Amino acid sequence: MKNIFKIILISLSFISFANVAKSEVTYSCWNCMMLGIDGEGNPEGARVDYNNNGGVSLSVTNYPYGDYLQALQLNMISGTSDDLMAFQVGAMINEYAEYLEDLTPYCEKEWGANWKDKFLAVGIEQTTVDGRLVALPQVMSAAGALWYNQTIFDKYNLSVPTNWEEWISVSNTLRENGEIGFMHGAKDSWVNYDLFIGIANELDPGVIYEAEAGTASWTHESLVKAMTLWGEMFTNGIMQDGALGNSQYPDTHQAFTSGKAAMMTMGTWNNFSTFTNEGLKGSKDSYGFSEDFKYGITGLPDMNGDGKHGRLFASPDVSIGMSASSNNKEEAWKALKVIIEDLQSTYAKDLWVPALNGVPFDMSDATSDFAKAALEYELGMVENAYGKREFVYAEIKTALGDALQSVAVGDMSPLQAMEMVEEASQSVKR
Amino acid sequence: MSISKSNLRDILYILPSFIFITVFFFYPIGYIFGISFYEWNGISQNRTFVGLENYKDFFTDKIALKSLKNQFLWGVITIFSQMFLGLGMAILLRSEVRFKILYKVIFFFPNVIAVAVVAYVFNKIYDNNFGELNLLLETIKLNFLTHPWLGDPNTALYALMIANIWQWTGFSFLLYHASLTQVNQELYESARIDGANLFHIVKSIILPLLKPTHIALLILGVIGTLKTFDIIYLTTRGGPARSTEFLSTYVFQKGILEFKASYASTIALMIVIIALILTIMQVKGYEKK
Amino acid sequence: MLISKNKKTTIISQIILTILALIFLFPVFVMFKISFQGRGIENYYKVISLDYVYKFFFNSIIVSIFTVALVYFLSLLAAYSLSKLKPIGKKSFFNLILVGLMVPNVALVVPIFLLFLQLDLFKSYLAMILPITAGVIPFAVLVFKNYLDNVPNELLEAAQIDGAGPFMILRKIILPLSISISVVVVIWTFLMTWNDYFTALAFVRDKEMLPVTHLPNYFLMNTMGQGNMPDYGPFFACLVIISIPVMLLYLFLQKYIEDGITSGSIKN
Repeated sequence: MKNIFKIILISLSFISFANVAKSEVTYSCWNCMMLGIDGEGNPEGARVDYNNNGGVSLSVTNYPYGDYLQALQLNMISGTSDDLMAFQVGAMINEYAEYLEDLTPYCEKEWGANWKDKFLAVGIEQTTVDGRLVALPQVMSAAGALWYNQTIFDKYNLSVPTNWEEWISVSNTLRENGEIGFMHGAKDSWVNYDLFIGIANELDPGVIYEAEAGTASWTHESLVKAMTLWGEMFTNGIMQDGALGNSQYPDTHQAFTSGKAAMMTMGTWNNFSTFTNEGLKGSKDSYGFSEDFKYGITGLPDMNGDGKHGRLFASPDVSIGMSASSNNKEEAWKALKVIIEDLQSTYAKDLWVPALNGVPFDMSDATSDFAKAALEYELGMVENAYGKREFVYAEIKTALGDALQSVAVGDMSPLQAMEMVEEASQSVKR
Repeated sequence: MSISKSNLRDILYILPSFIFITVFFFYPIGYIFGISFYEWNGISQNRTFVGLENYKDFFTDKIALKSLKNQFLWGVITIFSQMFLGLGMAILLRSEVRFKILYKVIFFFPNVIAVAVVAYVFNKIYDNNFGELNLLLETIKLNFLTHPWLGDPNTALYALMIANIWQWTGFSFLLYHASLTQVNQELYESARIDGANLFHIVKSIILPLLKPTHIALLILGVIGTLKTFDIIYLTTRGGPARSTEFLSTYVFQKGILEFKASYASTIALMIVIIALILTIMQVKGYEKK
Repeated sequence: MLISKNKKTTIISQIILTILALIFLFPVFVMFKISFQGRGIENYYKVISLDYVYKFFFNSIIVSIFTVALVYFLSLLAAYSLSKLKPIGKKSFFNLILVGLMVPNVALVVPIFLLFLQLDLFKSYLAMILPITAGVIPFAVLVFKNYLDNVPNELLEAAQIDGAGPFMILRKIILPLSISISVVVVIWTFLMTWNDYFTALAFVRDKEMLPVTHLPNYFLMNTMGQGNMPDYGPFFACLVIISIPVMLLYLFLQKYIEDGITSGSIKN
C-alpha cells in the first residue's frame, strides 16, 4: 500500500497549474502547411510571428485530418476551443456555425462597405450560413480536372482524350502496353464525389445542385446517366484494376507523379507538388524517382456531345472561422486578416487558387515552360469554373458515397443507386 | 453464511480497481445511455428528445446489420485461428528445437508493433498494382492468383483477417506458453508410459488443463473483435461497399464524420450490450463444467 | 517431456517453426523496406533529428512506467481477492470489472474529457496514465485471476495454519509463484501504454507532453483533400524506431516465462 501512495504523490507532483497566456492567438488546423511554417508537419505546433503586421503572434497546432475532427469537437463542447479554427465548407461549417463569430462587421470595418468585392463570390457564398459570415476562405480549390502525363502519351503516340470513346481507347491502349491509363483512388469518398460531380456537370450542368436543394430528383436522367458512366469506368478499361483498394493520396498521386499512371482526376490543390521545383523535389524524394515528366491539365472528356471538355467547379479549400467565445477577438481578427489577405502572395507562389480577386499565380518557381503553359490553361479553366465541391447535407453525402461504391462493385444498378440517394435526400429537413 | 469482518476487509483489495472501472466505464456508459434518447450533433447546445427513435433506427439499419455480420465472421475466424496457431507454436517450442529465442521474438514481434503500422504495411502488401503480395505471386509465375485484395468486397474482409491473425497470434502464444509452464511434467511421463502419443496428450491432457486460458482468450478475443477499429479504418475505412464495415467504424462515421452523435452513442451502447451478453454466455459456459 | 526427444520429431518441429517464422517475417521485411524508401538511411536521420524526439520518448517512458506499476499493483490485489479470498459480492465484482473491457473508446471520450477539464488534469501525465490504467486493469485482473485459480490452495492453507494473514500470504507465497504471469501482464501493459495513440489525442493538450506515437505525425505531408498522406520513408522509419523499446523489454523479460521456476516450487 505504501508504494501506491508514493506513486500517487509523485504523479500529482506532475500537475502544473500553468495556464496558456491569452495574449497569443491560437489556431488549429489540418492543412497548416499553407501558412509557410515548417516544411514538415509539426505536431506540437509552431509559433508564427507576424511582426511586420502589427506584431500579431500566432500559435498553430497541426493535426492529421481525422484527429482534427475529434479534437475540434471536444474543444467546442467543452468551451476550450482555439481562437481560430479551420473548416471545410458544406456540412462541417453548418454544424459548427452556432459557435462561430459573424465576421461581417469585422470585414466592413477593415475593408469598407464594399469588402465583398475583394473576394471571389463563390468562396464567400459557401462560408455564409443563414446570412452570417462564419468563416473566410483561405484558398480555393477547383476540382474536376483531368491531369495527364504528356511524356507517357508521347511514348505511345497518343494524345489526351477529348471524349468518352477516346478515353476508353487511350486507356486500353496503355493497358495493353503494361501501363496504367487512368488511375483513381476509389477508396476515398471525396475524390469519388469530385469525379461524379464532374461527370454530372458535364452531362447537364447544375442538375446535381438542384437535386441537393430538393428542387430536382436524384433520379433525373442526367444523374442516372452519370452514375451509369461511373460504373462503366470500372469495367471498360478506363480505371485501373482494384481501384476500390487504392487511395487518392498517396497511391494515385504517387503513381501519377512518378510516371506509372498516365491520367488522374485532381484539382488545383495538386499544383504545388507537380508544377513547382520545391514541390516536385519533395515528390521525387518521397517516391524515389528522378525523371522530369511533362504534366498537363485539361477538363474531363466531353460526354454530352457538345464538343467541349468539362468545366472545373470550386469550393474554398480551407476556410477559417473565429470562435464566438474567444476572449481575444481583436487580436484574432488581426491574425485572420494576415492569413487571409497578406499571405496571399505565399499561397500564389505555391500555386493555390487565391480566395481573393485579382491575385495571379506566381509562377516563379515553376518547373518548366511546359508547366507554365499547363498552369495558364488551368487558370483559364478556373475563371470559367461552375458549381461547387462540397455537399451540405451529411445524409446525402453518405447515401451518395454508398451508391457510388455499390455501383462500382456491381451490387446495385445505377437507377437503384440513385433511388437510394433520392430517398436519403427526402429525409433531409431543409 | 454470516458476513464477517474479513469478508468486508477482502473487498478493500478490489476497491481501487473497481473505482477506476466505475469512473472510466460506468460513468461514460451512463452518459451515452442518456444521449441515446436525444437527437444531437455532438456539438450544438440544442438537442431534441426523441425517445426510442435511435433504437428503432438501429434495428432497421441495414448497414448496422451488415457490420454485425462482418464482425461475427471476423470474430469466429480470427479468434480460433489465433488460438490454434498460438497453441501449436507453444507446443512446438517445448521440443528440442534450436534457436528458441529467435522464434519467440519473431512470433511476438507483430504484437509489439502498433496497429497503425500493421495497417499501413498490409495496405502496401495488398496493393493491386505495386503491392508485394501480387509482385511475389508474379515472380513465382502464379500470375492468375493476383487479385485486388482490398479492392474486392469478397476478399477485403479476409485479407484484413490475415493481418489481424498475424498481429495477435503472438499474444495467444504468450499466454499458452505461460500456462504450459504450469503443467506438471510428470503428467506427460505417466501418459507416455501408458502409451499415449503427442496427439493424445494434447487432446486429453493439455486441452482440458488449459481451459482457463482458452476461456480468457475467447473472452478477450470477442471483446477485441467488438472494439476493432484502427486496422479497418486505416486500410479500407469500411469499404468497399461496406464489406469491411464494423459497428466500431460505423460509430466513428456516424459520430465524427456525420455529426450524429446521439445515433453513434446508441450504436456504442449496443456494442456494450452485445459484449455483455456474449461474455455472460461464455462465463456461464465455463462454470457449468 | 511433452514432445519426445527423438531426432525425427525435432526436425519436423524445426521445419514447421521455420516456415511459420518466415511467413511471420514477411511483413516485417516489407516494413523495413518501406522505411528505406526514397531517401534511404536518411529517413532514420530525419527521425532522430526531430526537435521533440527525445521529449516524446521521455513522456512515453514516464507514462508507461507509472501505468505498469499502477496496473500491476491494483490488479494483483483485486485478482488475489477474487481468487483466494472471500469478499462479499465476489462474482458481481468480477463481472462488473470485466464490463470495463467492453466499452469502445469513442464512447468514453466526451464524458471523461469533461471530467478531466473540471479536475484540471490536462497539463499532467495523469491525463494519460489514468485512462490507460483503467483500460488495462480488467484484462490484468482476468489474466491474474485465471492464473491464481490454478495455484493449489494447499500451499496457502499451510501458511494460514502457521498464522499468516492474507496480505503476508500474498507477499511471501503468491508473488514468487506468479513471476511468469506477472511478466505477461507487465509486457502487455507496457505495450498498451507505449502504443497508445488515441488517449493522447483526446486528453493531452500540452503539445510537449505527447507520447512517442505522435511522432510520425511530423511526416504527414501537405495534406491535400482529406487524406493524411504520410511521407512513407521517414514515417516508417519512425514507426520502426518506436517499436524498438517494447521489443527490448520483451527480450529482456521473456526468459522469466520459463519452466522450472514454477514447477519447482509446487513440489515444496
